[in-house]
Amino acid sequence: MNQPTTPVENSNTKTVEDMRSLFKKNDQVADQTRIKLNERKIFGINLMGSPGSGKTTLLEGLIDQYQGQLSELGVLEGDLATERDADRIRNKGVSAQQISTGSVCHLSAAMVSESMEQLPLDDIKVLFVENVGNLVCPSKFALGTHKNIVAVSIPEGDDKPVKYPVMIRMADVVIFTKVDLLPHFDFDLERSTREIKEINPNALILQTDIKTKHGFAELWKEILGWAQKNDAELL
Amino acid sequence: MHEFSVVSALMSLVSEDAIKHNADKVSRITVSIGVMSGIEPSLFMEAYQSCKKGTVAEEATLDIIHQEVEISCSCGYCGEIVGVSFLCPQCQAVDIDVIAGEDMILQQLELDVPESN
Ligand SMILES: Nc1nc2c(ncn2[C@@H]2O[C@H](COP(=O)(O)OP(=O)(O)O)[C@@H](O)[C@H]2O)c(=O)[nH]1
Ligand SMILES: [Mg+2]
Ligand SMILES: [Zn+2]
Repeated sequence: MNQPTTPVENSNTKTVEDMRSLFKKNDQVADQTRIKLNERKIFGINLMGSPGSGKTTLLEGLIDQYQGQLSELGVLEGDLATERDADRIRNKGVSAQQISTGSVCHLSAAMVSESMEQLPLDDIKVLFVENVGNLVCPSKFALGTHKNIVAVSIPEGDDKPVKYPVMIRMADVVIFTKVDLLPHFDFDLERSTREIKEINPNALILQTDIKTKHGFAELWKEILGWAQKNDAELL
Repeated sequence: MHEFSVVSALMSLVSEDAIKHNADKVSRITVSIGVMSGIEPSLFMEAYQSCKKGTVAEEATLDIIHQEVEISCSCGYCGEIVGVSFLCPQCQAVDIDVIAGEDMILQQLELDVPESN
C-alpha cells in the first residue's frame, strides 16, 4: 500500500501493514518450551498472584501432602531478588531453581526455558513455576506451561479480581487462599466468585487454607487430571 | 512495569520491517492496544519515548489506537461486550469467540525509503 505523501529528499514514504502481536516473540519461545515439556512428559503450571498471596505456601502444602505419591514435583521460583522461596522448597526435599529477575516484574518464556534446564527434568512429572508476585505484569507473558493458577488471598480484599480482570481472564483456576481468615475480614466470597465468573466463565474456583489443608485434595485432583489428559493427548 | 518488555518487542519488529523494506528511518508507528491486553497506554508511551533513542525509530511518532473487546457469538452477535462480562450481550452465551481487545498489535508503519539508484 503505497501512499503519495510528502517526499523527503531522495526518499519515499512507504506505508506497511505489519499486524503482528507484540506478545508473539515471547509466545513462540513459550511454544518451544511446551514442546520440550511434552517430550519429557512434564506437566507445567504457572502460579501467579500478588506478593504474599500464599503461592509458596500453596506449593509447600502440596509437597507435604503429595510429593512422591503418584508424582514427582519440581519448582522454578521467580522473584526480583533472593533465593528464599527456592530454599523453602529445597528444604522440603524438592528440586527448585530460583530465577532472579532483577528489576523485571514478570517471568518471560526465555527465562523459564533457560532455568528449567538446571532442574533434574528426567525425575519431574509436574513442574510448578511460581511467577513474580504481581497481579498485573505476568498475565500476558506465556511461559510454555500448560495451565495457569491465580491465587487471590482473603486479606487482599474481595475487589481484587474485578480490579485485575486481565489476570483473572488468564486463569484456568482461581484459588481463594487463606480462607481460614474469612472470619476476620469483610470479604464477600459470593460476590467475588460471581465477578470472577463474569470475567472468566471457564475458570474453576477453589478455596484453600494451609492450616487445615482444606482444598488441597481438590486442587491436586485437578492437577493430576490435567496431567493425565495431557499425557493421553500426546500418545 | 512490563511495558518495557513490550516496547522492546515492538522495537525488534519495527527494525525487522525497516531492514526488510530498506528503510533508513521510521516516521510513524501505529499500534493498537486492547483494553484487556494488560498494557497501560500511558506507561507504554513513556517506555517507548525512552527506548526509541538511537534506533531507526528515533524520530517516529507513535499513534495508539484503543481497541475495545469485541466478540462474536453463534447467535449472530458481533460487537462489544458490557464492561468486563465475557458473555454475549444478546443471548447471554458464555461460549463466545473473543476477536479483539486482548492483544496488542503493531498495525502500521510509515517508512522513509531512499530512492533506489
Ligand atoms: N492464615 C493463613 N496464612 C497463610 C496461608 N497461606 C499463606 N499464609 C501466610 O501468608 C504469608 C505469605 O505467604 P507466601 O506463601 O510466602 O506468599 P507468596 O509471596 O505468594 O509466595 C506467609 O506468612 C504465610 O504463612 C493460609 O492458608 N492461611
Ligand atoms: Mg513466594
Ligand atoms: Zn449470542
